[in-house]
Amino acid sequence: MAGKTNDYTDKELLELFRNDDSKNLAFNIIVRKYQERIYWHIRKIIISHDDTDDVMQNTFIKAWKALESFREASGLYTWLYRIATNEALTFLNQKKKKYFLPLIDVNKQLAETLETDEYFNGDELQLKLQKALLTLPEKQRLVFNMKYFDDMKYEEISKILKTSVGALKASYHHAVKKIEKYLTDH
Amino acid sequence: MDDINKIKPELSKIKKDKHFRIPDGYFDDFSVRLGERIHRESDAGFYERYILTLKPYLAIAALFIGMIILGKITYNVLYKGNISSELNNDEIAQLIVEDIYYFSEELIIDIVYQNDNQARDESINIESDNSTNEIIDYLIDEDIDVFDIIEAL
Repeated sequence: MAGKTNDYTDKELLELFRNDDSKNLAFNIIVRKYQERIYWHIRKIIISHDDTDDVMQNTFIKAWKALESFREASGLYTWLYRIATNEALTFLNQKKKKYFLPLIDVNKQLAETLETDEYFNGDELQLKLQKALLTLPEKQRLVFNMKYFDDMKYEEISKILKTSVGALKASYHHAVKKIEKYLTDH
Repeated sequence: MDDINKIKPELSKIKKDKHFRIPDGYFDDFSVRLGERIHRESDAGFYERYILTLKPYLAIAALFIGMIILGKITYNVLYKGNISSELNNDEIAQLIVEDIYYFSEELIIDIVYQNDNQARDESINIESDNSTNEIIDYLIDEDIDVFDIIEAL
Protein backbone atom coordinates (compact mmCIF):
# COMPACT_ATOMS: atom_id res chain seq x y z
CA MET A 1 0.00 0.00 0.00
CA ALA A 2 2.84 2.39 0.83
CA GLY A 3 4.17 2.18 -2.73
CA LYS A 4 0.76 2.86 -4.25
CA THR A 5 0.36 6.20 -2.53
CA ASN A 6 2.80 7.74 -4.96
CA ASP A 7 0.91 6.45 -8.00
CA TYR A 8 -1.77 9.10 -7.64
CA THR A 9 -1.39 12.79 -8.17
CA ASP A 10 -3.20 15.18 -5.86
CA LYS A 11 -5.68 15.97 -8.60
CA GLU A 12 -6.51 12.30 -9.10
CA LEU A 13 -6.91 11.79 -5.38
CA LEU A 14 -9.32 14.70 -5.15
CA GLU A 15 -11.38 13.32 -8.03
CA LEU A 16 -11.51 9.93 -6.32
CA PHE A 17 -12.50 11.60 -3.05
CA ARG A 18 -15.41 13.41 -4.68
CA ASN A 19 -16.82 10.11 -5.84
CA ASP A 20 -18.81 8.45 -3.06
CA ASP A 21 -17.69 4.96 -4.08
CA SER A 22 -14.00 5.77 -3.80
CA LYS A 23 -14.10 8.45 -1.10
CA ASN A 24 -12.74 6.29 1.70
CA LEU A 25 -10.03 4.79 -0.48
CA ALA A 26 -8.91 8.22 -1.68
CA PHE A 27 -8.73 9.59 1.84
CA ASN A 28 -6.81 6.57 3.03
CA ILE A 29 -4.25 7.14 0.30
CA ILE A 30 -3.99 10.84 1.15
CA VAL A 31 -3.37 10.02 4.81
CA ARG A 32 -0.69 7.46 3.99
CA LYS A 33 0.94 9.81 1.49
CA TYR A 34 1.31 12.76 3.85
CA GLN A 35 1.10 11.37 7.37
CA GLU A 36 4.85 11.24 8.05
CA ARG A 37 5.64 14.75 6.90
CA ILE A 38 2.63 16.16 8.76
CA TYR A 39 3.54 14.15 11.86
CA TRP A 40 7.09 15.45 12.08
CA HIS A 41 5.98 19.01 11.45
CA ILE A 42 3.53 18.77 14.37
CA ARG A 43 5.97 16.86 16.56
CA LYS A 44 8.58 19.63 16.36
CA ILE A 45 6.01 22.07 17.68
CA ILE A 46 4.24 19.90 20.24
CA ILE A 47 7.24 17.81 21.33
CA SER A 48 5.23 15.04 23.03
CA HIS A 49 4.35 12.03 20.86
CA ASP A 50 0.96 11.43 22.50
CA ASP A 51 -0.11 15.03 22.05
CA THR A 52 1.18 14.94 18.49
CA ASP A 53 -0.99 11.91 17.82
CA ASP A 54 -4.05 13.83 19.04
CA VAL A 55 -3.24 16.83 16.88
CA MET A 56 -2.55 14.58 13.89
CA GLN A 57 -5.98 13.01 14.21
CA ASN A 58 -7.64 16.39 14.60
CA THR A 59 -5.81 17.61 11.52
CA PHE A 60 -6.92 14.78 9.29
CA ILE A 61 -10.47 14.82 10.62
CA LYS A 62 -10.67 18.50 9.71
CA ALA A 63 -9.25 17.63 6.30
CA TRP A 64 -11.84 14.87 5.86
CA LYS A 65 -14.66 17.33 6.57
CA ALA A 66 -13.30 20.14 4.40
CA LEU A 67 -11.79 18.24 1.49
CA GLU A 68 -15.06 18.23 -0.42
CA SER A 69 -14.92 22.02 -0.74
CA PHE A 70 -11.14 22.26 -1.17
CA ARG A 71 -10.59 24.80 -3.91
CA GLU A 72 -7.12 23.66 -4.96
CA ALA A 73 -5.78 27.21 -4.90
CA SER A 74 -2.80 25.83 -3.05
CA GLY A 75 -1.44 22.29 -3.31
CA LEU A 76 -2.96 19.56 -1.16
CA TYR A 77 0.18 19.24 0.95
CA THR A 78 0.33 23.01 1.59
CA TRP A 79 -3.30 22.91 2.62
CA LEU A 80 -2.76 19.99 5.01
CA TYR A 81 0.36 21.61 6.38
CA ARG A 82 -1.64 24.78 7.14
CA ILE A 83 -4.36 22.84 8.94
CA ALA A 84 -1.72 20.98 10.94
CA THR A 85 0.01 24.24 11.88
CA ASN A 86 -3.24 25.82 13.06
CA GLU A 87 -4.22 22.74 15.02
CA ALA A 88 -0.82 22.61 16.72
CA LEU A 89 -0.96 26.29 17.66
CA THR A 90 -4.55 25.87 18.91
CA PHE A 91 -3.41 22.94 21.02
CA LEU A 92 -0.64 25.00 22.62
CA ASN A 93 -3.03 27.90 23.28
CA GLN A 94 -5.53 25.57 24.92
CA LYS A 95 -2.76 24.18 27.06
CA LYS A 96 -1.88 27.71 28.20
CA LYS A 97 -5.51 28.44 29.10
CA LYS A 98 -5.71 25.27 31.19
CA TYR A 99 -3.30 26.74 33.75
CA PHE A 100 -4.75 29.50 35.84
CA LEU A 101 -1.47 30.48 37.45
CA PRO A 102 0.23 33.12 35.28
CA LEU A 103 3.71 31.92 36.13
CA ILE A 104 3.35 28.58 34.49
CA ASP A 105 5.19 28.61 31.21
CA VAL A 106 3.99 26.03 28.72
CA ASN A 107 7.23 26.11 26.77
CA LYS A 108 9.18 25.52 29.96
CA GLN A 109 6.98 22.53 30.63
CA LEU A 110 7.63 21.24 27.13
CA ALA A 111 11.38 21.58 27.71
CA GLU A 112 11.06 19.58 30.92
CA THR A 113 8.99 16.98 29.06
CA LEU A 114 11.84 16.58 26.60
CA GLU A 115 14.36 15.61 29.24
CA THR A 116 12.29 12.70 30.45
CA ASP A 117 10.61 11.80 27.16
CA GLU A 118 11.27 8.17 26.21
CA TYR A 119 10.74 9.14 22.59
CA PHE A 120 13.54 11.68 22.53
CA ASN A 121 16.85 10.13 21.62
CA GLY A 122 18.94 13.13 20.66
CA ASP A 123 22.38 13.86 22.08
CA GLU A 124 23.18 16.64 24.54
CA LEU A 125 23.62 19.27 21.83
CA GLN A 126 20.36 18.35 20.14
CA LEU A 127 18.57 18.56 23.48
CA LYS A 128 20.09 22.00 24.02
CA LEU A 129 18.92 23.07 20.57
CA GLN A 130 15.36 21.92 21.29
CA LYS A 131 15.39 23.85 24.56
CA ALA A 132 16.68 26.89 22.68
CA LEU A 133 13.84 26.54 20.20
CA LEU A 134 11.34 26.42 23.04
CA THR A 135 12.45 29.89 24.15
CA LEU A 136 11.22 31.30 20.83
CA PRO A 137 7.64 32.50 20.21
CA GLU A 138 5.61 29.76 18.54
CA LYS A 139 5.45 31.33 15.10
CA GLN A 140 9.14 32.07 15.04
CA ARG A 141 9.80 28.47 16.07
CA LEU A 142 7.57 27.33 13.22
CA VAL A 143 9.51 29.39 10.69
CA PHE A 144 12.81 28.06 11.98
CA ASN A 145 11.63 24.44 11.87
CA MET A 146 10.31 24.75 8.35
CA LYS A 147 13.37 26.54 7.05
CA TYR A 148 16.16 24.86 8.95
CA PHE A 149 14.93 21.29 9.43
CA ASP A 150 12.49 20.89 6.53
CA ASP A 151 14.55 22.99 4.14
CA MET A 152 11.43 24.62 2.71
CA LYS A 153 11.61 27.63 0.44
CA TYR A 154 10.41 30.94 1.80
CA GLU A 155 7.70 31.04 -0.88
CA GLU A 156 6.30 27.72 0.35
CA ILE A 157 6.40 28.85 3.98
CA SER A 158 4.71 32.09 2.96
CA LYS A 159 1.74 30.18 1.49
CA ILE A 160 1.37 28.10 4.64
CA LEU A 161 1.72 30.83 7.22
CA LYS A 162 0.20 33.58 5.05
CA THR A 163 3.12 35.84 5.89
CA SER A 164 5.26 37.79 3.45
CA VAL A 165 8.63 36.41 2.37
CA GLY A 166 10.39 39.46 3.77
CA ALA A 167 8.81 39.01 7.20
CA LEU A 168 9.75 35.33 7.16
CA LYS A 169 13.37 36.09 6.32
CA ALA A 170 13.54 38.59 9.17
CA SER A 171 11.87 36.14 11.55
CA TYR A 172 14.28 33.35 10.60
CA HIS A 173 17.28 35.64 10.96
CA HIS A 174 16.19 36.67 14.47
CA ALA A 175 15.45 33.07 15.40
CA VAL A 176 18.94 31.98 14.38
CA LYS A 177 20.52 34.83 16.37
CA LYS A 178 18.53 33.97 19.50
CA ILE A 179 19.35 30.29 19.23
CA GLU A 180 23.02 30.99 18.72
CA LYS A 181 23.03 33.20 21.81
CA TYR A 182 21.28 30.50 23.85
CA LEU A 183 23.74 27.85 22.72
CA THR A 184 26.67 30.09 23.56
CA ASP A 185 25.32 31.09 26.99
CA HIS A 186 24.28 27.59 28.16
CA MET B 1 23.77 26.43 4.99
CA ASP B 2 27.27 27.79 4.29
CA ASP B 3 26.05 31.12 5.64
CA ILE B 4 24.97 29.42 8.83
CA ASN B 5 28.36 27.81 9.27
CA LYS B 6 30.15 31.11 8.96
CA ILE B 7 27.82 33.25 11.01
CA LYS B 8 26.43 30.79 13.55
CA PRO B 9 29.11 28.29 14.39
CA GLU B 10 27.35 26.76 17.40
CA LEU B 11 24.23 25.89 15.42
CA SER B 12 26.19 24.37 12.57
CA LYS B 13 27.79 21.85 14.95
CA ILE B 14 24.43 20.24 15.69
CA LYS B 15 23.28 17.34 13.54
CA LYS B 16 19.98 17.87 11.78
CA ASP B 17 18.81 14.28 11.84
CA LYS B 18 15.58 13.38 13.59
CA HIS B 19 16.09 13.02 17.31
CA PHE B 20 12.54 12.12 18.13
CA ARG B 21 11.41 8.52 18.11
CA ILE B 22 7.99 7.11 17.48
CA PRO B 23 6.39 3.89 18.70
CA ASP B 24 6.93 0.90 16.42
CA GLY B 25 4.30 0.55 13.73
CA TYR B 26 2.79 3.95 14.49
CA PHE B 27 2.34 4.99 10.87
CA ASP B 28 1.15 1.53 9.84
CA ASP B 29 -2.03 1.68 11.86
CA PHE B 30 -2.58 5.44 12.08
CA SER B 31 -4.93 5.53 9.10
CA VAL B 32 -6.93 2.60 10.57
CA ARG B 33 -7.36 4.35 13.92
CA LEU B 34 -8.24 7.57 12.14
CA GLY B 35 -10.84 5.79 10.02
CA GLU B 36 -12.43 4.29 13.14
CA ARG B 37 -12.63 7.68 14.79
CA ILE B 38 -14.19 9.31 11.71
CA HIS B 39 -16.70 6.48 11.52
CA ARG B 40 -17.50 6.84 15.24
CA GLU B 41 -18.04 10.58 14.97
CA SER B 42 -20.22 10.35 11.88
CA ASP B 43 -22.41 7.69 13.58
CA ALA B 44 -22.82 9.76 16.69
CA GLY B 45 -26.43 10.68 17.33
CA PHE B 46 -27.81 13.94 18.59
CA TYR B 47 -26.96 13.04 22.18
CA GLU B 48 -23.31 12.23 21.51
CA ARG B 49 -22.79 15.11 19.15
CA TYR B 50 -24.45 17.91 21.03
CA ILE B 51 -25.50 17.01 24.56
CA LEU B 52 -22.24 15.33 25.55
CA THR B 53 -20.26 18.19 24.04
CA LEU B 54 -22.42 20.82 25.71
CA LYS B 55 -22.71 18.99 29.03
CA PRO B 56 -19.95 20.87 30.85
CA TYR B 57 -21.28 24.23 29.62
CA LEU B 58 -24.84 23.32 30.61
CA ALA B 59 -23.54 22.40 34.07
CA ILE B 60 -21.80 25.77 34.41
CA ALA B 61 -24.94 27.60 33.22
CA ALA B 62 -27.07 25.65 35.73
CA LEU B 63 -24.60 26.55 38.48
CA PHE B 64 -24.87 30.27 37.69
CA ILE B 65 -28.67 30.14 37.55
CA GLY B 66 -28.74 28.29 40.87
CA MET B 67 -26.46 30.90 42.46
CA ILE B 68 -28.64 33.74 41.18
CA ILE B 69 -31.80 32.09 42.53
CA LEU B 70 -30.13 31.44 45.87
CA GLY B 71 -28.92 35.02 46.02
CA LYS B 72 -32.40 36.34 45.30
CA ILE B 73 -33.98 34.16 47.98
CA THR B 74 -31.33 35.19 50.48
CA TYR B 75 -31.87 38.85 49.64
CA ASN B 76 -35.64 38.53 50.04
CA VAL B 77 -35.31 36.81 53.39
CA LEU B 78 -32.65 39.10 54.82
CA TYR B 79 -33.83 42.48 53.65
CA LYS B 80 -37.41 42.58 52.50
CA GLY B 81 -38.64 40.32 55.30
CA ASN B 82 -37.42 42.57 58.03
CA ILE B 83 -38.52 45.96 56.86
CA SER B 84 -40.79 47.61 59.27
CA SER B 85 -43.40 49.50 57.42
CA GLU B 86 -44.50 51.72 60.22
CA LEU B 87 -43.28 55.21 60.83
CA ASN B 88 -42.69 56.22 64.37
CA ASN B 89 -43.21 59.72 65.65
CA ASP B 90 -39.58 60.71 65.15
CA GLU B 91 -39.62 59.57 61.56
CA ILE B 92 -42.83 61.44 60.81
CA ALA B 93 -41.40 64.57 62.38
CA GLN B 94 -38.21 64.17 60.37
CA LEU B 95 -40.20 63.81 57.15
CA ILE B 96 -42.23 66.89 57.91
CA VAL B 97 -39.18 68.98 58.80
CA GLU B 98 -37.30 67.94 55.67
CA ASP B 99 -40.18 68.41 53.27
CA ILE B 100 -42.22 71.04 55.07
CA TYR B 101 -43.38 72.73 51.90
CA TYR B 102 -44.56 69.53 50.29
CA PHE B 103 -46.21 67.68 53.08
CA SER B 104 -49.83 67.81 53.94
CA GLU B 105 -51.77 65.82 56.46
CA GLU B 106 -53.32 63.84 53.62
CA LEU B 107 -49.90 62.97 52.31
CA ILE B 108 -48.75 61.76 55.72
CA ILE B 109 -51.86 59.62 56.01
CA ASP B 110 -51.37 58.28 52.45
CA ILE B 111 -47.75 57.37 53.13
CA VAL B 112 -48.64 55.54 56.31
CA TYR B 113 -51.55 53.71 54.66
CA GLN B 114 -49.37 52.87 51.63
CA ASN B 115 -46.81 51.22 53.86
CA ASP B 116 -49.54 49.32 55.62
CA ASN B 117 -50.95 48.01 52.32
CA GLN B 118 -47.50 47.00 51.08
CA ALA B 119 -46.87 45.01 54.22
CA ARG B 120 -50.25 43.28 53.85
CA ASP B 121 -49.71 42.45 50.15
CA GLU B 122 -46.34 40.90 50.74
CA SER B 123 -47.70 38.97 53.71
CA ILE B 124 -45.00 40.38 55.87
CA ASN B 125 -45.61 40.01 59.54
CA ILE B 126 -45.63 43.55 60.79
CA GLU B 127 -45.77 44.46 64.37
CA SER B 128 -49.27 44.83 65.62
CA ASP B 129 -48.47 48.06 67.34
CA ASN B 130 -51.37 50.42 66.90
CA SER B 131 -49.31 53.58 67.20
CA THR B 132 -49.63 54.37 63.49
CA ASN B 133 -53.38 54.03 63.49
CA GLU B 134 -53.54 56.04 66.66
CA ILE B 135 -51.60 58.86 65.07
CA ILE B 136 -53.88 58.91 62.05
CA ASP B 137 -57.02 58.79 64.15
CA TYR B 138 -55.72 61.53 66.37
CA LEU B 139 -54.88 63.81 63.46
CA ILE B 140 -58.27 63.34 61.91
CA ASP B 141 -60.23 63.66 65.12
CA GLU B 142 -58.41 66.70 66.37
CA ASP B 143 -58.11 68.37 63.00
CA ILE B 144 -54.51 69.14 63.68
CA ASP B 145 -52.34 71.21 61.37
CA VAL B 146 -48.82 70.00 60.47
CA PHE B 147 -47.31 73.07 62.08
CA ASP B 148 -49.00 72.15 65.32
CA ILE B 149 -47.36 68.75 65.08
CA ILE B 150 -43.95 70.27 64.57
CA GLU B 151 -44.45 72.55 67.55
CA ALA B 152 -45.52 69.63 69.66
CA LEU B 153 -42.48 67.55 68.63
